[in-house]
Amino acid sequence: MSAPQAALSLWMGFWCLLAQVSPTDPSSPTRLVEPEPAQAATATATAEVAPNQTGFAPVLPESTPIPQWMIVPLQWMIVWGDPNQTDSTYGIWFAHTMTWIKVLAWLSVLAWIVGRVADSVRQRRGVEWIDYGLIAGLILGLASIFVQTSFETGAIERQTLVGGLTASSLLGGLGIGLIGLWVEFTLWTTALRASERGWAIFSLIVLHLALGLGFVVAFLGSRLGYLLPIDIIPQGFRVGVTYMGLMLFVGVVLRVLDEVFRIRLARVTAIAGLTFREAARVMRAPYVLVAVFLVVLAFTHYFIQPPEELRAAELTRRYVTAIMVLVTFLVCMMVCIVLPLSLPRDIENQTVYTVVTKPVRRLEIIWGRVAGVMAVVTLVILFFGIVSGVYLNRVVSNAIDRTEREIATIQDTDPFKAEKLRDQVDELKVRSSARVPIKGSLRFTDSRGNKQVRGIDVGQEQEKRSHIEGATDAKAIWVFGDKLNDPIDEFRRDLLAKRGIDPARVPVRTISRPIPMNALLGGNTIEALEDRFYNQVREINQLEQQSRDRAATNPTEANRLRERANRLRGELDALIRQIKAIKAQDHELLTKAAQAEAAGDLAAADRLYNESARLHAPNLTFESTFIIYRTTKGLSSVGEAVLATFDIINPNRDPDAQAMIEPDDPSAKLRDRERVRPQQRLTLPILEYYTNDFEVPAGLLVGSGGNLIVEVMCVTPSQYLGVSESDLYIVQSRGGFTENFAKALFGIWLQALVITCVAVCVSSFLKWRVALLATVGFFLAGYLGFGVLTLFFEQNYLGGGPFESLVRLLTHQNQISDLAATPGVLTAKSLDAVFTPILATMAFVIPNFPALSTADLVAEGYAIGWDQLLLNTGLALAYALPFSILAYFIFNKREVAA
Amino acid sequence: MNPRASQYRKLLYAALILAIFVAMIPYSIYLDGVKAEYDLGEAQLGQVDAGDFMLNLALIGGFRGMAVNQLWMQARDHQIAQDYDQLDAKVDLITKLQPHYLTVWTYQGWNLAYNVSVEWDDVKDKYDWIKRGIKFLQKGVSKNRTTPDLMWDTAWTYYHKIGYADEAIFLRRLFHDDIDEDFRRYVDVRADNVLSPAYDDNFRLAFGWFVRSQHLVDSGLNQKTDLKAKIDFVDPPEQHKGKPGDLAFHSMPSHSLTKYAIYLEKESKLGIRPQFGEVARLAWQNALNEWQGPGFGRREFDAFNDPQGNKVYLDDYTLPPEEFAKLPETRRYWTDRWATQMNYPYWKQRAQAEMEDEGLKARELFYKGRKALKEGDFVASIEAYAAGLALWKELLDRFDSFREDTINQQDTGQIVNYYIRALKQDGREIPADTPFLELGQRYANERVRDPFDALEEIPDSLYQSIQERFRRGTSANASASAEDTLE
Repeated sequence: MSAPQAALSLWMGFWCLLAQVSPTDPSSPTRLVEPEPAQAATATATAEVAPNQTGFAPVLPESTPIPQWMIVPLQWMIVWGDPNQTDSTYGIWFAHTMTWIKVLAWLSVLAWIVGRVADSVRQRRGVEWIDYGLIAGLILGLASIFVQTSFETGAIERQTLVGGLTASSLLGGLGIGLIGLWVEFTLWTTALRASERGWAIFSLIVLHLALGLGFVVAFLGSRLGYLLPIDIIPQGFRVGVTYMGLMLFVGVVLRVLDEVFRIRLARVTAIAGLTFREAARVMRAPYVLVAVFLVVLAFTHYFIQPPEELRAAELTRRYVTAIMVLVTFLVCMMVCIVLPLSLPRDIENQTVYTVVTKPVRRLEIIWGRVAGVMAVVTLVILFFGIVSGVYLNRVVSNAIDRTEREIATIQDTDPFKAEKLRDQVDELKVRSSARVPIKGSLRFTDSRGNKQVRGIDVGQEQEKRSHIEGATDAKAIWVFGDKLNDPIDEFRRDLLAKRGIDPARVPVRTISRPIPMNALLGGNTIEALEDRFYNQVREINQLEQQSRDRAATNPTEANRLRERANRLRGELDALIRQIKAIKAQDHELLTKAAQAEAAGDLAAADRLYNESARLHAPNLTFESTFIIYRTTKGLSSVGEAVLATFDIINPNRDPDAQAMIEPDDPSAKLRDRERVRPQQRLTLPILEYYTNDFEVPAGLLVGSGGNLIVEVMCVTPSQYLGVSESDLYIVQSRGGFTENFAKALFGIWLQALVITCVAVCVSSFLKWRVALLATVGFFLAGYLGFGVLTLFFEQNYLGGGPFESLVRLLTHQNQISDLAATPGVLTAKSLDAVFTPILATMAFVIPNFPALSTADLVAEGYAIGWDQLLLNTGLALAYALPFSILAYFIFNKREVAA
Repeated sequence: MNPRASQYRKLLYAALILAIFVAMIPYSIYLDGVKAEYDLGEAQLGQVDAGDFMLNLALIGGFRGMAVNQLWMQARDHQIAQDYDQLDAKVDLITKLQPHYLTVWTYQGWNLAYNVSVEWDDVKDKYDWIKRGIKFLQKGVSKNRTTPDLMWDTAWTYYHKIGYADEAIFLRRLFHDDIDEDFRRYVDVRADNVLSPAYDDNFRLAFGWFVRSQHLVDSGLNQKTDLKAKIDFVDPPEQHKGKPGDLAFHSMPSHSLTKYAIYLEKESKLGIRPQFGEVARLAWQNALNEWQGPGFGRREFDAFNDPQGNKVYLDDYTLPPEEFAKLPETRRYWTDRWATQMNYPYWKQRAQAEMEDEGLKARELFYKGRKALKEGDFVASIEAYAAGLALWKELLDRFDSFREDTINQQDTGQIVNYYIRALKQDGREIPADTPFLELGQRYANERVRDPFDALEEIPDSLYQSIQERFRRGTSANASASAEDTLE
């Protein structure tokens, strides 16, 4: 009881602090200027990133009373110690891992205290005098919350006693003090009674020193301006607990590593084999699962309405999603049932003795069980994957065949519909492939041509897309390339520059959206050769520039650079000859093809054109999904389409270099096929809620160095075009469905891995009925409730926590109006103050299952990248490892082998 | 324990279970009877299908409501996120779980046909969604056969959403060309429930469905009159349409046929020639029959304070004055009140007038005049208008209610103004004896484009291009061609 309460008090301190760091707080030391209210959110969100010499810390106050050499170590101490500063704001590449370690550190502290206290309580006989102190502390803590709530709701008007001291903080301080005393007392008595008394006392002292260090760091940090100078004590406490946790964490890691080195694969495999046999033979879990799966699959068409004929493309989305949900639930439910039924019952029936009395390590038992269950899961997922893959393939190809047959029959009678159906067939094919999109970075200009971060808000409920006005200068601009300025930061910099802030002081982050030239241009095509040529010219120019710059300061270096440039220039001629040769070949093919065509030999012409096409890189395919917001039904009539222009611009091609590879034959210069201009404009009607695609010759990319600009304007006056960043992309490739589907199944496997480790963890200390409920609870909470928990963590909810919301629900009140401060409301709010932080903390413990699922990508026809797969595996392990190791420690502590 | 005794006990249990089952058979037969008697069985409400059954089995009892609530919220979220296909799928699941919850059908049918359809820019997409809304309502009808509301909603969507939308000329054309013949047929309740032929006009379909709804109300099946005892429903199914005295409800079949006849004589479907002559005469004849027939004109309506409790007929209002005067005063009062409320004399006389030879000929001439004006053939236009207006004058002299009505006066004024425009274009004077010249002057500044006539709706300059685009369509896919390239 004490430990959650203690954790709660810690968290409450944490939240109090968070509440004080509101963006409008004028005392915030990280403030640069007074921003416009409209930009306040953006500006303050990034206000902390202004770099100083170390590159990751906030802007320093003018005078620092701390020696210069201490600053960098102190910064690192703060970053490691403060649980608040855990995101990637400072550009630390391992920030996520750091967050993970900090969470584990806190959990280690919690587990350590709970473990010690549990030991102590177990050894006691009855209630001791000090326990009354704990009860008093708890009552005082609750009273403090109640008083604070009453004050906030206006039930009591003032609670200030003397000076700045409030009644609630007095009560809270007393309560926390009593609880702290109780914890300390319990810890010390346990340490004194421990068998290795010296070691126990030593570790206690060291941990207290770590706590003390936290206070020192917090004090110095607040002097330096990294932490707020308001509440040194809670901050120091938080930092100190993190240090304690880190120490414990290191201890845990060492101990686990030691255990890991003693693991023998043979023993793990043996345990895994036993578990596998138990699950497969004794419980017959896979057979039950397969039977349920097949029954449900056989009746899928009862549950899922096949889409209307004219939206046939919806088919994949509906079926893939449904099958993925089905497989996830079946597999995870199997794990939820099989594991809690096996381990706790082994312990209850004492069959586990036969194992633990053998020379088998406890971690081997845990990991062996996990491996055994995962073997069953793997087999089941493989089977499901094959069956549902075949099933999906059949359903989709049937739909395509059926639609194509219908197109053929109605081609003449109903051309409208035939055309619609053809779009659907195309879409269906796209969705049953795995597109790899190349995404750009979106920025806007408004109707006067000024740079903007967003377009116009037309008042839609969700501002997913912002709009550009037709027949004005308003543009949506997608920029591709390496090291692009973040548009929000850039906008902020310009804004601050107008107010006299030196732009150099305002940091602008960069984002990278380069075009993978090799993937798009191929290896030996005309375009690839030309691109290589331009790159080489660019390098030469750069070298020469550098050489000129250094001519005065460092003549030897300048000479060396010039020599390298000359060597490259020498190689350039060979490249030019190669390009000219291949172009001449292409030109010859085209001439012959034209002659053959003129002579009526179409087959030969086709063959020649194809040969010529093989010399070129394939066209670039763009896909877009814009929406339209109309202010009139049509300017002069209904039924007019809304048009958009797409300007695709290659900003980097060097015109001088281009002249060098112009073909010698002047007549060929006119042919667009051979000499693509670095800019191209297309005007297209926009079709809402379809994937509009268009192609441009790959030659446009040549010499771009991976940079491209796509400017979109709306042509039709008084209409608006709605765009978001993901609405326009280049399709790099269209992969196969099977591989993608397999990757999505792997996502389910990862989810099963996490739930298996959770199940092992809870079954290591709970009876099987409770363990079963707990595992199912974890799964459902993670699957359905993670979003809600995140809301609690972000404090991003209206109408109070669960209890206050219940009051509102029952009394039919809306989420915004203030509730009258009745005793019921006060109680509800106080209870919320107790439970909301606990729920918020759960966001760090409950696994985020939806994040591991990649089913949506498959359903929409986008490829699941290997990087994402790797990331998901990392995430799954980040959940699975701690749970299994926790299971190991608990299992170790249990006296199963006594 | 003696294994034999245990076996006996098992057998005994089995026998008992069997006996209870057998004993339940007569009881369940009795229950079925009671269900049928009180009209409580699900099959009595409408068609039951396997999907509903399976889903309800999976979510037995009270969880259904929770699931539906959750689905409804998801559907709403999908709509906000503009993911209309997912909205459609969710709504389908909701109706599978609660197929007899009428509000869901009404609301979502309207939502699909009206709200979702407007979000799509292409007229063909709009048509597709309107059709989905109508089909959704029809599915609702098939599962709830005893409610006139959903039938009326179906009819209204055919009538109003296709016929009265801003894009009506396109939508009606798409309906005209729809190869889905089932969508263009209705169950003809006046002809022994046979399926009608496939009509090419949405107003004919609206007529069929309005009649079906009206028929259900008249038959009293919706009232559950054969119940022996009144049932107190916890949540009684509410009926909104066809309550006693609902004049508008009963006028809709006549209105549908009238709209059909009116738009037959105009280019109300893009690129489809209007029809005149005998076809039009038949359409007007049907409309007239509907107005003055038992469906509306000879239907009994309440005369609330009539001492004898007599009912009134709207058609009595068009009796010769001396005969009308013979009616008792309360009946005269209520007849007058109901008939003027519905503008009955105008609609009846209009049908009578338009089906006359002069009416049919005049309409044809007006169309020719308008078309010639659009094509710049002013001489032909003037000739057609002059001849048409002469016939029109002759006709209206005989039908005073029609002539004096504002709708007609505005319409006539518009025609006169087109005539005048043709004259001006040709550089001629306006003849002093032009009929209805005063109407032309009265409405000279109130030029309204008839949105349901392609000739007026689409400006001359765009007529060809829009029709061409409509025929060809916009494809989602395009490829850069050489002429798009700019330096």
